[in-house]
Amino acid sequence: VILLGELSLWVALLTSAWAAIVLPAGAATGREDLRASGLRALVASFAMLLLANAGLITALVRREFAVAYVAAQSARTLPDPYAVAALWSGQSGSLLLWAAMIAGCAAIAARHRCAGDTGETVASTVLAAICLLLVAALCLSMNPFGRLAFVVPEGLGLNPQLRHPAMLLHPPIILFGYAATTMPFALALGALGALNAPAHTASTLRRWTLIAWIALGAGLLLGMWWAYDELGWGGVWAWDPVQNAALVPWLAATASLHQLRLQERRGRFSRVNLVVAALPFVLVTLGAFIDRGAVLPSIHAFARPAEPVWFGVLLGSTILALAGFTIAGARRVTRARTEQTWLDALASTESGLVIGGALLLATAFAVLWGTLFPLLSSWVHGTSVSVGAAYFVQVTSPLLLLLAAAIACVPLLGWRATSRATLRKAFAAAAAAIVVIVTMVATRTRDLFTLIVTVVCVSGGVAILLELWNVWRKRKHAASKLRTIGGLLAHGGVLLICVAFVGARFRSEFDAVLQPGQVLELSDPLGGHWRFVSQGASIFSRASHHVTAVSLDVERNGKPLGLLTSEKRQYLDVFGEAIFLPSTEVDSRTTLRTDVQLVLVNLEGETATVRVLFHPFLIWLWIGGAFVLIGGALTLRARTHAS
Amino acid sequence: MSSRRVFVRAGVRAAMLLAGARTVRAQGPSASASRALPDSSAPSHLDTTNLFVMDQGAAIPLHLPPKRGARPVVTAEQRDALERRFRCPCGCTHDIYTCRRTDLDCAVAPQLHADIMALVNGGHDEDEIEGALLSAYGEGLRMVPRAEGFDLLGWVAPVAAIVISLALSLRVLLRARRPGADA
Repeated sequence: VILLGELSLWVALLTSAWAAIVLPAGAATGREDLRASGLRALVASFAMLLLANAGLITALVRREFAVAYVAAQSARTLPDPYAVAALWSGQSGSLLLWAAMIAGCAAIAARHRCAGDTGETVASTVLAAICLLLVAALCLSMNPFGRLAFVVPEGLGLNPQLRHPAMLLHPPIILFGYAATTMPFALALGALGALNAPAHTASTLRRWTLIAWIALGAGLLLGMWWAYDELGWGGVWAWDPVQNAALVPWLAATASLHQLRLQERRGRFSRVNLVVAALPFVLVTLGAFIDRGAVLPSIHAFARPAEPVWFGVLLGSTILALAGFTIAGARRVTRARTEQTWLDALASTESGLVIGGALLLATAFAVLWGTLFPLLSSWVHGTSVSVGAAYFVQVTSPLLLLLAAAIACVPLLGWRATSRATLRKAFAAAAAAIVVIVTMVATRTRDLFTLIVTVVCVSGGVAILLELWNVWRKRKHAASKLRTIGGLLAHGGVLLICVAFVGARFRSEFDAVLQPGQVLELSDPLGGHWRFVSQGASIFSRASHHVTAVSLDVERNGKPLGLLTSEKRQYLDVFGEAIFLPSTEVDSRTTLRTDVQLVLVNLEGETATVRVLFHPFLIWLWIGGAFVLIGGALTLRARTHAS
Repeated sequence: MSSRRVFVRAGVRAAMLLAGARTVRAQGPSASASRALPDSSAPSHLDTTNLFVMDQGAAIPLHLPPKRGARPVVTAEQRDALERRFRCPCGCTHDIYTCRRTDLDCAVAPQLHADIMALVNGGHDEDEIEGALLSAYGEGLRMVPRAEGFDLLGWVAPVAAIVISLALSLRVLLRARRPGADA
């Protein structure tokens, strides 16, 4: 199985090299058979990489410890689902999966090619070249099938923090999102390079950008849940370079979706839109360079960094290719442009899309700038300046406010011109805003940021609800109805996420030492009264770890919420020896107003030191995130329906 | 058709040769050298994590003697806020406060917290503790760039990005407006 997997990897190297050579050669010589062969080679690369992945998964599940990667990531005591997840827990395994996903995109592009114009060839060649580079990095530098000099009796297994259900979903979904960004990149280069880009280019670009956007969004949301549920630190986002490396392409993809919608609707074919569409993948390669090459320290980084040169080459080539095609395509597009004036009214959806896209790009830049600033400062004055959460919160808060304000205006604007009918929505939104202001002033809310964001979110939410009701009643065309509802849900979801961000400003935490039966009474930031009764400690063993746990019976305002149990775990290897440092498992209860989290800090005899954390409105992050994703999925569905 | 078969056969043969050569290279020299030391490309059994490796020895002792008749002048809230302004030198990118209260197996943040507590109990104020931390670890310990010199760019660039993006979009919209279009 190992040999088959490794052979498949090498064959994938040959097939992707073949594709990368014969596709442009076929186009240059006009030989259709060469082009067809190149496209078939792309499909073959995908098949080979699937086989290689299957080979590595089999080795991980069978605990073939002769393979270095398996010895480092899998263990006999590791449950089978996590043994499969070990495919993406290490540097080379995750790269193998990523390469297979990119090859999958390339195979889809190859199978669905249109008439065979230059744009398609460029796109396929770009995809083949990306595949080739990644597979070459795997074969020559990070071979996941590399053998150990000896067979170890037991592998290391996954860190306790990685043994979480999110591990089964978050990394592959994020990797899929990264892979899906290759399609808009390749298609945009193809369109920039084509003499006459096909009319459906904007639509195809937007579909693939939407797929990448949904996957990245889902991955980010799962990652936040993982961080919240596993680490017991009271947060969901640490502004870590690896987290930012996924957020920045998502923001760029969001900007691109706005720009492409304008292009699709108004038929304007701007090269700026194509460059923005290509941007997410460029940012993904930058992220890969930073994270995989350990250029910047990160808590999410792999224990063994890869040779940064491979990812440097990938990043350099993508930037050069984008720059080259943009410059080369500039003259053609300028010549093709006929209509200089296309805007009927400043107060229109078109303006909203342009301003929204620009704000999103500015946000992406701000996050990227903060992420790269330690690197820049160390180049300039030799000292690497730390840029942490405090910086990002200060820099992104005004941007978030501007974006929320822009979103609140979405339902008030119409295509081409804003009709008088929207005035009713505007009045309702303004009335809601006044109610919120009066309520918050009455409750003595002194935080200006909280006041402004709440007003914007509530008034925007009211306007969105009214518009949803309108669309639901009046629109007849199913695809158009679905698309509009999807867009409104996604924008409404962002407003709900903003509510959760405001709630995070009022997070509070308490440490307490409890004996069995002792009562702890606390107030949450929203004035709820909480009562915790210690049920004492328990010590027991599970299959792969020893457990020390403490349980607290919880009541909120006299209403029982059940038991909260937090554990300290000591993982053991197959010989019963302790591996890794003890880890903590937190427990939480969610209500619409506040989340409560219990963390066991220490246990001495029957005396437990615990930490209780309150997170106001955290649930709205998950609900808002779900709305965003459902909105995206509905829009994608509408596109399929329409086509 | 036959040329394609020849090509495929040659490719498979070359791939098998390459794979075989790589296996021999991985097993040969290391096996003959020592059983205790695996080759450099393979993870050694000394690995204790498959994630980012923290620098657990990054803590530097803070030499600041306690003041005579010292009484704490920094409250617990001020101490926590101070810890949030400096990063943990283990390399995790968190601040000291967050790192020591997170399930990250870090030994450095608790050590720094103990050092800061010692300074607080030694009667030192926030400025003195900040000075002691910066003199031991350097300016890189701050969680935000300073608003001076090149570091000022850290703050200016995002603001410039917002202003430029809004100005550019406004320019695009004004230029795209049809003559006689509504405001």
